[in-house]
Amino acid sequence: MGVVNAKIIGSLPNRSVVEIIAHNALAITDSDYHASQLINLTPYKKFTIIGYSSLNQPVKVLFSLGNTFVNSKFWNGTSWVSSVSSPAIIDGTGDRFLITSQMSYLNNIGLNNIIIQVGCSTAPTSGSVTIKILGVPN
Amino acid sequence: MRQNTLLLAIEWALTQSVDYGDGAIVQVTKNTPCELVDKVREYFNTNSSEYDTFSYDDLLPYL
Repeated sequence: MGVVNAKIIGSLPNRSVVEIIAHNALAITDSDYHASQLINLTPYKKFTIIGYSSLNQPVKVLFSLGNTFVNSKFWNGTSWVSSVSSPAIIDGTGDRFLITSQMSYLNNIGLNNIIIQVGCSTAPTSGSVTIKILGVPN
Repeated sequence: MRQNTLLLAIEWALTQSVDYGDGAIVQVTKNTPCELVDKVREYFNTNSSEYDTFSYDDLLPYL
């Protein structure tokens, strides 16, 4: 398990922010889900997921807790919900989407690793999608 | 995708720019992953080249 494309993008005294690129301008051509590498989150006390897309189809973004072969679920206050059935959906405007603001259950919890999956219901014919994680080191 | 086509696509893409409106024009370079990938894809589409899902990381060895 390794950190994927991690680099320090800014720092303050006693604090820095590390950028991890989960999907680096991924030009999706099908309607399958595409999984990032396993991203090690243990070096970070906080993290934020940001996404933006120029794809000409909406793209679904969801998380997996270290294994794409079984469901990852969260508690919505009433029942368990699979991340697959409740993805963040971002459009191809190029706008920056703070994905963890929708997946608020990912805030303020400790995770050892995560996989970010992206996919479109209809195969896009142009554009790409980028997903980044900004981590605040421990 | 064929390597020769990919090299041509990258060469063309690096001469392009992207107009985001309101005067925001981004010149495509090796350091603009989204714009580079989008333009490479545009080249493939324009030239009817077959290709599978790819990312900036797939282009890096050719930059």
